[in-house]
Amino acid sequence: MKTLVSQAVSRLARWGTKWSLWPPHLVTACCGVEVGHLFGSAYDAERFGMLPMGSLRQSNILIIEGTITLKMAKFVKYIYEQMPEPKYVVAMGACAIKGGVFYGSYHMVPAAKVLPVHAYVSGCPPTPEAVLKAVTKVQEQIAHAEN
Amino acid sequence: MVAVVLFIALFLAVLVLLVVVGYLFSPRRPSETKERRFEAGGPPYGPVQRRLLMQYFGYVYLVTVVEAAVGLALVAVLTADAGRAALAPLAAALVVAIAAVVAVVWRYFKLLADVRRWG
Amino acid sequence: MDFPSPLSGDLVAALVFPGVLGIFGFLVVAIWLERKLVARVQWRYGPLYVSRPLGGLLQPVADLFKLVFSELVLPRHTNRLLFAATPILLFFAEGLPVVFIAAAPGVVMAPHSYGLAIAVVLVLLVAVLMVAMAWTEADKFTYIGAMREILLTAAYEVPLLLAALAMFLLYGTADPHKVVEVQSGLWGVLLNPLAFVVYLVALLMATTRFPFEIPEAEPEVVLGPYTEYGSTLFIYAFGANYVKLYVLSLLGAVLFLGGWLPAAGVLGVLITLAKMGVFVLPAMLVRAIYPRYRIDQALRIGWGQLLALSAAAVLWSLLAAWIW
Ligand code: SF4
Repeated sequence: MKTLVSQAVSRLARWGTKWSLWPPHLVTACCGVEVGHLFGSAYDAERFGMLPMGSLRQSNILIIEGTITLKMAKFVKYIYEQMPEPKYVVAMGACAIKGGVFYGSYHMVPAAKVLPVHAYVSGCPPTPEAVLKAVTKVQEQIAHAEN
Repeated sequence: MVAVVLFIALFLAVLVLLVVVGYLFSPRRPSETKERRFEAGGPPYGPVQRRLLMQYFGYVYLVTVVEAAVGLALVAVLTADAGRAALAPLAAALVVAIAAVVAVVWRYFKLLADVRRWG
Repeated sequence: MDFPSPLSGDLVAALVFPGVLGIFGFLVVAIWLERKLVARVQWRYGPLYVSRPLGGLLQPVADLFKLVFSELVLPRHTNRLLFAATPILLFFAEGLPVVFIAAAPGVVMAPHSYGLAIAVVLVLLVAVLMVAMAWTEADKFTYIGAMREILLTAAYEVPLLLAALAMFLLYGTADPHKVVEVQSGLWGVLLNPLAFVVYLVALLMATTRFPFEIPEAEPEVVLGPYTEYGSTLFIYAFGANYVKLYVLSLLGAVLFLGGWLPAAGVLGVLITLAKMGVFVLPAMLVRAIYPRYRIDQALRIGWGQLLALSAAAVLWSLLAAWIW
């Protein structure tokens, strides 16, 4: 009985989370322009239920938009920690993967060293379609997650 | 009466139930950071600088309640059968009241114009 | 009082239309409609893939499940009990005026000869709870949001009250049934168009829809009074405005658009529902069309043009009642 209930709850929760990923506004570098496109008329991430949210208390997906400098990494970490529990991270752009044009710079950190990343998007900058693809990947991860 | 009680009970029950369900079944990982004040992504430094003072609650109540109560009283008088006879004096009273409000607004407008001249 | 039969009007009112099911159903449909309409204006699709055949109608349901099953954070610096209780109270209080409004002959929870007037007053009393909510959150954004909310309340309250008062004066009653009866010839919107205009603008202000979306202006104060809320409590804090929209548009349909006329019974309920669209649709669409006023501009509208218009509406009604 108990497992049945928890299974049903988990299924509902995963379905809801899958279709309602709300990112907070956090722009760390030039990839942010592409995220602007993501919610504009041509690409429209709202089709997948995404909605940019002002406050961290309601949002549950963090899109790392490009370069994270050491100075910004503290705040990225802080923002991630302030988000409520089921939370996901998409690292966007060559900078967030390995450094991109700033490869080897003394003051830049790859996203994976700051946060657990659920999906990467390559490109400099990545096209909005690519970001949407990564978002659908995260959605699949959520849908197929264990309880 | 049954319907009102039913409505209130059901409405409150649904509201509380959703919170309880959420509280019981949602994943929980409380941390010190999470429970801090929201400061648009940065850590808060010390207690909040300005907050709403409780003593202003009286004014808020004045703003919201007095007009509403006066309005209800007016409606009660005007729509009662006996009240129709008292229409003229009440209308006069209403006009006086509105005139008072208009005077305040007039003063506010002048103040606003002054403020704009300073700005 | 004898026990009501299974489908008596007041029970239908409590459970289905103006009552519980109506409120939550409206929340789902209104949020979906708003997102879809705004998307249409902006050349987008809006929510879609969550339920392709229904055009994304399940989107608010998915949002609800997500919010309910996400972690509830109670900040340490607040009074936790109050923090959890105020949004529930706010949502509840916003829905309460529905008790006195009829959706069809007999479909009303508490028939009262001053029903509509009491409903208007109840709508106006809620602003205190919103401020109380912002106060318990104890945050600078909520503080600014609450101050703006108070100022805006002060601006729309008198016009809204005067617009309703003008209609009661005209009809000579505040009983929902009699109000609709009087309108069987001409609807209230034709009898006193000034009051209708004032009511519509005051409705936008009261529900902080877009040109007046000042307390929760996102670029300025994050989410205003809702900033600290997540999880289920966010649904209540944020949804309370939609409930207010629901209540005010139901009230407007009865007061200005002849309520359930020309039908009665189930058809009458459906007609009332359709007439609510006259208030709901503009409220949704202005979001995509208008920019935001500054708080001083909004106050100037409320205490200036709108107050003058509403005073004129009262005078119009007095004259009409005199001639009648
Ligand atoms: S990947 Fe390219 S576009 Fe993105 S932040 Fe780095 S340099 Fe800028």
